[in-house]
Amino acid sequence: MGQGEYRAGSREDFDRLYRVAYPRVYRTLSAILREPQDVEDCAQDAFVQAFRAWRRWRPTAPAEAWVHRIAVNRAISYRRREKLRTVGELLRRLGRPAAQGDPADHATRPDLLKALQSLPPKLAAAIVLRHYHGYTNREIAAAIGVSERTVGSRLRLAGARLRALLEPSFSLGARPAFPSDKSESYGKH
Amino acid sequence: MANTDEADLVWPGFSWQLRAALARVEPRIAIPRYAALPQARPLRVTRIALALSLAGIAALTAAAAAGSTNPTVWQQRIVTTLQSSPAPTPSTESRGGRSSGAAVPKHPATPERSEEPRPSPEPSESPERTSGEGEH
Repeated sequence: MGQGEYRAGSREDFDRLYRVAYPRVYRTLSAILREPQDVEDCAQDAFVQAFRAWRRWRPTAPAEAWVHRIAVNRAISYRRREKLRTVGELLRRLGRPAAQGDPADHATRPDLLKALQSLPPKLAAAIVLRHYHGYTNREIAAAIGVSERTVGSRLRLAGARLRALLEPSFSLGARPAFPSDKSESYGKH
Repeated sequence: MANTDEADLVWPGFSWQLRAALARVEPRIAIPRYAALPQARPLRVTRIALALSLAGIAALTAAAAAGSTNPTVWQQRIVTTLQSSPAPTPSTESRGGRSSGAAVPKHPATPERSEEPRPSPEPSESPERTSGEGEH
């Protein structure tokens, strides 16, 4: 049996899937959710849900992509909760001076992640699955349960929004760094 | 000259930047929460467990009714109950002409069973099959 092959229902195989996929799922979620605690909770919840359904998993799609699908769907509901929480916080702080965040956090947290976290979860997930995990559009479509065309349009929209958000920073230094990087086109996969 | 693919780029070097940004994210080492869950039992085991529980309930009911835990006593109790129950007199009389004189009061179910094949014109076919064909 290969490293990436799993048997549905096998506890040992699920443990192996967790070891392999947890850091990757965690990183995907950290591009969608702002709070590290939410990222961890969401990743753990996704694995709990996956574990409950592990017996019914069919190897038609890679197990990791399947867990990603669960995780992204959970992240979408987490984001809704996050929004509600933010509105609640805003209402509570009304009339008080706005709290300043930790300056160290501002200094170390990359803008790209912040920009991704500000995108709708489905767009952020598409970008991360494509550009971080290297899935093709077809694999992303299978993983998140939409058509390839939808994946393509989500990637284009996400790209446009990121460009708009990070226009000054990305146009300064990054352009000549990887001129031969062709993996970022969306049309052919 | 930018072709269609290049028009789709986020920007050159984006993948590398994203990988670098996400590489800085350190997943917290956590005990998997699923590990605390009981492992899902296979369906076969669940069915066996269900059958055993039903059998247990049936045994308890029988023991309570017979006043003994011995299955032989349950059997005897069933036979006694069946024998002591009054035979349906009118139906016995009406069937009397057709029955071959089996011991009706002793085993009320026996004459019915013996009567079933008689009206069937085709002895080779089972009663279930005949009734099944009739429904369609």
